[in-house]
Amino acid sequence: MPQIKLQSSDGESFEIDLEVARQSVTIKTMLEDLGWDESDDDPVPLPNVNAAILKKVVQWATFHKDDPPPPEDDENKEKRTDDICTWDAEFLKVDQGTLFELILAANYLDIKGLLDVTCKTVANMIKGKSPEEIRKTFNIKNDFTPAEEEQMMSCNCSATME
Amino acid sequence: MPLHCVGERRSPTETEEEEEETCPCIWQELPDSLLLHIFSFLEAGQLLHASETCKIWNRVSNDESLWKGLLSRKYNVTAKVLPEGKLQWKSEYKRLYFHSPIILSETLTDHTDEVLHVSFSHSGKMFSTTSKDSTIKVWEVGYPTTLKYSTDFRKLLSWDFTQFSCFNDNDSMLLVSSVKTTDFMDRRGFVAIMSLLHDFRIIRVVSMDPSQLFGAWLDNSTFLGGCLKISLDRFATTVHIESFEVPDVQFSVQDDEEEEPPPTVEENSGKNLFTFCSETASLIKFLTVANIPSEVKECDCMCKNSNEMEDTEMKQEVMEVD
Repeated sequence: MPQIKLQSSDGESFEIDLEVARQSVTIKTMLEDLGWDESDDDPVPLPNVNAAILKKVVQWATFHKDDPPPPEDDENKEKRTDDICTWDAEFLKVDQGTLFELILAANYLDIKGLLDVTCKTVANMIKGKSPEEIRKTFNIKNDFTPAEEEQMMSCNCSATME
Repeated sequence: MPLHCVGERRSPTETEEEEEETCPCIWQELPDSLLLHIFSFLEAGQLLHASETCKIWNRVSNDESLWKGLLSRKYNVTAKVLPEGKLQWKSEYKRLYFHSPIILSETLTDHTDEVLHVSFSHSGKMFSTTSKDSTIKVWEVGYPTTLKYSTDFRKLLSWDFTQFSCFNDNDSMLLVSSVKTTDFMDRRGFVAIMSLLHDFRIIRVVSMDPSQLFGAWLDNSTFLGGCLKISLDRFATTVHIESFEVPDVQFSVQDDEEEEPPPTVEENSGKNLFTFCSETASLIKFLTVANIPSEVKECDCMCKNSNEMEDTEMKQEVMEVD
């Protein structure tokens, strides 16, 4: 199994299976563009991902290396958030900072499966909560003026919509 | 919302102010495209709650692509572009959510074949259904809906199917329009008037020409029908719109015990009101009384052609007014 070296933004190198790394469309394209072959020993620099997060991403990609490619986004398809597998749920029991960094990394590395599962996890944190509870959960500051808030509440009818 | 209430709701975060300053909310720094991706997993109500948290989330949650997606998933609206005259996908979603009946409360399975038409009584307490099983059924609205009357016209008069029904203004009678295929493979239309006050008895049965003509109530005791005449020398078809009076029949109680004779069908018994003359007159389907007159002679009738869209009125030449 060919190996590839990835270098995090803080200079740490990770040697992983090529197949695992190719789940990232960004890395896959980069290797194709660079004409990378097995004899290449230079690490692929990933200036937007630090070692701690890259370690997590590699861990996720290793577990999911045999997954079928994720389906294309379809507007008509039901958007479920209760289909997160047990391993992922356990894997994503992290602090919000890490979850946030994982979303950014999945987006930068273009790993659809990881992006979906992390975004679903955040969506699940929003579900079933009142606006005030959401603010508390995510430490969001209410920056509406009372007048804006009143106007918004009257036209949203969110209280009656499921 | 009263102002003091807003103040109260903010107080818990004030205690955390110190922490907030050193650690601002990371989620507000998430690029819009990623916040959109997170929001795309939310249902409408959750999305609205998210929109009420802060200005950034409010802006992103109002993104039309989210509401277009919700419309598509919840209501199967697959239009690619916003239909003309609509302002936004979000307002369309709200319109469908709040102003359209979407809850299936009951399924009625009494008809044994395709249901062709449903008509509601003016009181809203009853509705009638016609079907390819050739029965006319009247239902009483409620939880659950109950079957009030049912008459099988195949058994009674060998009609093929009931195609249309309509309550008169005071819901005392029901007009039922039906079709029968004759031995010569010719279709003939009929209208039966049923009493809703006397056990759904048949008061009057008349033939209807052209066969697909539905008939219509003019007032509480007069209904309209048609009589088709093909004039070969003028290469034109004429349809006479006729009015029929419904007699005020008093049914006696004893009738119940006797075997009722099948009702007799009256032919050409109406009083001619209008004559429409046109090449397509034989396609007239709907008769709509647009302006209920004090005198029948000034009646304003509209006809609709069965092969045209419902909202296009067929321009018929009025040849003569009786």
